[in-house]
Amino acid sequence: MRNWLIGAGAPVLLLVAWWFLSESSLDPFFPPLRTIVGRFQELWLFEHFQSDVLLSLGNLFLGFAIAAFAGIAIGFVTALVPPVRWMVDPLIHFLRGIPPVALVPIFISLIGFGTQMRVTSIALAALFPTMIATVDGIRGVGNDLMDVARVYRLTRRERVLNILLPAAAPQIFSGLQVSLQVAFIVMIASEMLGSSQGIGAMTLLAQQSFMTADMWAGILLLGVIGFLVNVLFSLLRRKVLSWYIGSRRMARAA
Amino acid sequence: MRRSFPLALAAVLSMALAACGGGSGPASTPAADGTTTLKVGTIGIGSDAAIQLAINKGYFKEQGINVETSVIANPPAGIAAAQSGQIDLTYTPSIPLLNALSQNVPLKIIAAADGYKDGAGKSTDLNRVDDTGLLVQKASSISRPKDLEGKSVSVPARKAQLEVTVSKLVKDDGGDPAKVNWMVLDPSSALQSLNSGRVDAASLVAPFTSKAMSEGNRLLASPGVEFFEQGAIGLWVSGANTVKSKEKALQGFKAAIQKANAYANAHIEEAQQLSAEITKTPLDVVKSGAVNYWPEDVRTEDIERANENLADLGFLSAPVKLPGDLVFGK
Repeated sequence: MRNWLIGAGAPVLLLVAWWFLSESSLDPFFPPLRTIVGRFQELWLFEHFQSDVLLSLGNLFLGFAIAAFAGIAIGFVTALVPPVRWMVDPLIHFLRGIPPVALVPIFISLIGFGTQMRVTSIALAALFPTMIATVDGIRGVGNDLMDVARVYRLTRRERVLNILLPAAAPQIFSGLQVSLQVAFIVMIASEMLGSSQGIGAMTLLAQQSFMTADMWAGILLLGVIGFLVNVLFSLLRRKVLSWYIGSRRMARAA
Repeated sequence: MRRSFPLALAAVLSMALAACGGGSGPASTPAADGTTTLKVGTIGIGSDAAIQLAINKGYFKEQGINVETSVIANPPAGIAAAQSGQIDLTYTPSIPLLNALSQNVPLKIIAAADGYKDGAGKSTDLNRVDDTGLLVQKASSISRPKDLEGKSVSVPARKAQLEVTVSKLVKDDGGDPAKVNWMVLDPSSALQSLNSGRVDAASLVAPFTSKAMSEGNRLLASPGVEFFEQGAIGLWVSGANTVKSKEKALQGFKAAIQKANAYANAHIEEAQQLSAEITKTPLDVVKSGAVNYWPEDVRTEDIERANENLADLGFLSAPVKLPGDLVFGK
């Protein structure tokens, strides 16, 4: 409880300090927080909520979901079928070194600049962390566990779904969390080109036309969304991995 | 190597002088030989030929200044850098400048960087004076700016020069610019998207205008000259603080640029050669496009006309009240 208070208290203190320190600011690039909050309310609650905020979030979740499913599936195949691993491994390490933002112009020439381009960029960029974590997670499953599975004559399907997937889940979730952050960054970057809809596009536009209060309002919104998405993810992880978190706590207590 | 000794000496001397100087800020301290260094942001377009000429021909040295150029990403970034004193001067078209002034960013116009000759708007061959162009595919059904309603049109950036100037074309033709579907695309993606039909029209800047025409597209209009008519468009701009601390050097900059602009207009072949080098474009592509013009002076009424047009089109809620001393040295 005390940790929680400190965790919530620090940002609140910072906001209060920002509010009072910027109160009489005349610098056009650092407007008072009062102005920023005013613009925040006018822009995002709720005039542009549907047209821009929901649009961005839709792209984010669709791209992330594709990346999560594909990452886990490809990760499983790569880890379990050695020839595939030999083929795919160098390719993965080649592709993951390319900054995803650099691929956006290439996607534009391949698939245009609509929603598909944005979702594809997000999905491709977010794919690799999950996939690599899945491969690592499966390789880390102990031999004794697999021996027991063999003794019980579990089918391949049962082995994958009931043994490998749960055993690799903690690692997969770490990968998913990294993927989520990458997806968030690429969501903003993918809005720099094409139709200027979305939170990233609006923030960029505000920056280029010197509407600094609007720009700060956009940055605040992105921060809040990033924070909330992370909280949601942690809740999901706690639910799915409750057995793992519990067993770790037991191990530590012992 | 032979020159490094006096340079090193100058550096030591200037440091010693700066140490003795005390009160005066580091920004205004000239080097030992009396030259002040001005850091200038350019955007690497063909009209940068004039400032390059001023450097090559020693016009800045005559004024006792040393100019260091660096390429900035886009005019708003340059304005932010100039306002904060990161650089002393930046290139910007008048529209981003007016946007910045409307948000109370303190800026002053020092000199003209490019623009249109007086009476350019009445020229019969607008694409020879205007380096911006609005292009459509050869077989496109779009025959006039009004037809752009409901169509997708690419621009390099939103609320910037090309969107504003094309909007005026649409409005003057009786259309509604708000019904145009604006798409932000960098020039090469824009040209490619125009060729493949992903956008219905592309607004481009030289050398992409000539490139697009050589690939068989049709020039629908020349938005720049129809919006601005005449006078300075591209401007050399400083932050108000820089104007205070480096007033003398900026006077020198202004005089050198005036001289270089006049020289460039009189020796267009030489300037085009430099433009081709700066933009890394083949010389014949540069020559087939618009002929640059470098005004010697900035007239407040030309800026005011752009200001009123911006407000008229709704890009500004009201015209910016231009300060009387907006143009340096007037």
